[in-house]
Amino acid sequence: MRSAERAAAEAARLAAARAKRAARAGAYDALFAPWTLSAAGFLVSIAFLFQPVLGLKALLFAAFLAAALASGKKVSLAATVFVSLGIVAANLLVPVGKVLWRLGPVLVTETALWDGVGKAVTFEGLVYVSKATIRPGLRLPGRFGSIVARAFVYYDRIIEYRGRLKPATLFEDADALMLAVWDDAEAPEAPPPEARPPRGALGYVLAAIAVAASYAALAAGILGR
Amino acid sequence: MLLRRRLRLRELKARKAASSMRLRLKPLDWPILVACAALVAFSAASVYGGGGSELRVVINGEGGEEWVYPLDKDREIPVQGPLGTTLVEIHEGHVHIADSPCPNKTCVAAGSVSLPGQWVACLPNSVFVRVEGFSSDDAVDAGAY
Amino acid sequence: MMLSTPAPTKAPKAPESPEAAGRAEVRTGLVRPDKADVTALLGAFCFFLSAIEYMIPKPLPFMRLGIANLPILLAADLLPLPWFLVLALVKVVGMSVISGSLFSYIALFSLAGTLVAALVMWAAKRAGGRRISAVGVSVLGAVASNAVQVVLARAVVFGDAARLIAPVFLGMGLVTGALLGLFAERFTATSAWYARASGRSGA
Repeated sequence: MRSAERAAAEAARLAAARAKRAARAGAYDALFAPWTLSAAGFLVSIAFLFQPVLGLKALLFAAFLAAALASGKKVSLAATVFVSLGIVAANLLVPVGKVLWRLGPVLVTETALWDGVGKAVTFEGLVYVSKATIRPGLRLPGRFGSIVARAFVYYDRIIEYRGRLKPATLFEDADALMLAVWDDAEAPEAPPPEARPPRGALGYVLAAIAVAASYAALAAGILGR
Repeated sequence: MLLRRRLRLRELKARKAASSMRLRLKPLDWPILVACAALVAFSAASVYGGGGSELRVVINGEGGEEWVYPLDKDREIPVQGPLGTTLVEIHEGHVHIADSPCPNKTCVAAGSVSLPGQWVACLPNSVFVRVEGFSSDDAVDAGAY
Repeated sequence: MMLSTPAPTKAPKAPESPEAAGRAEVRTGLVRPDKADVTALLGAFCFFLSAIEYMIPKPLPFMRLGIANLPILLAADLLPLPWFLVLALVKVVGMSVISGSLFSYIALFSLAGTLVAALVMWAAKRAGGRRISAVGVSVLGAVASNAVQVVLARAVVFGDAARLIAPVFLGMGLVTGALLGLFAERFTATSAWYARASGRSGA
């Protein structure tokens, strides 16, 4: 049937896209030590958050988007646009500033519009810088980090669970799931995959450039006012 | 696999609404439920019931330009006119013209307004400031007719 | 006649790791469950329920339903306060790392909502004692958590218009809180896992 062929073609296309992203992620993660990348991401986020000039913020946002794409993370522009429109619309609900358009009872005012756009850019920009800098290889320090790591191990077991959860016997099934995941003495404690240290200095250089650029932009934005 | 779990969760929620099997509620649960329900109802009434005051300041300038600001936040708004800049000030729920480049400055002397329909204006500088919107008091008056 | 000891048909299975050996002891009720272990397990279920919740379509994508707080609700009687709070942090930090959103407002909403829910649930449990059930605890936690998230949304994302969704969100907190509480009540009463985790049962 044609629809079956189309479904198969779609599945193949999705699998190919996933493979391409995985390859990109591999190359990207090989560049950086996870902690360096996350620390850089944190610093850049601060500079981004306090950036007063909307134009510069938009430039930073574009850079974050590009980085997230380069890192092989799945990027849904539709979701970004949808959320951004929602934020702008919510901010437009309370009119503030010069009236730009009047569509019936709806007022589009200048200050409210730019406030909304600024908040949307900030919101989505932070999402993308997080996506680009928080990588799976990140190990958190100390006892807390070891508990989180163990939680990830358990999480993998939950995902692998082959039993079923039927609504009629939900409580028994959930109980069985929890016991199976907890008591799984047969499966060896899989050590979390250690991230390989990066082979060159390129990652550090890129991270340093990113941090420096974001703070230069911050200075420009503050001083330019 | 996760898709199946999502559908199961929906099923569970639907069935939970239908059957309340051997309610294990304790004495304090009921006042908590009632209090939270009351909180939800109260917030719905106050947000959707149109009882709040949504007063706005509408400023008309030369060339048909218009500005809108909420009355409840203090603000200073410079408005350009043919004579210069008129300073409109919103302060503690009132709006008035703080300064204007007109010769008599009657607009400044006119004082402040805060009720819907009231206005002040600097005619020489083509600045017209009025208060718009409705407040809970308004609704009562409308009902009296 | 020579009696030969029959060779054992199967060598006894050596535990793979000290943790597995410890869990075997817990299974037989010899030892109280390790708090870190219970925390990690419940944290994992927080991730799992977060993943499920993510797939349920919502008009406001970053404000959470609170299903992922169910393990925290269950932990109210299983863990002492320090571990209870660690669980809340594991949930927030773990999910932020998994979804790569640690520096974004999404993580901020998660942190505020989860911490408030956890603290309110703990306080409700301690203050109410035998007179409150998981339903009351859960409803208070969910409503408080959603209220905090609405306040944050107003400050950070939506502006004054956020108050328009406040009643909807508080209502959702009430409903999901009650449903989760009913689930937790029945589960804690009938679950063998829960009995072992609280150190109550033997084999």
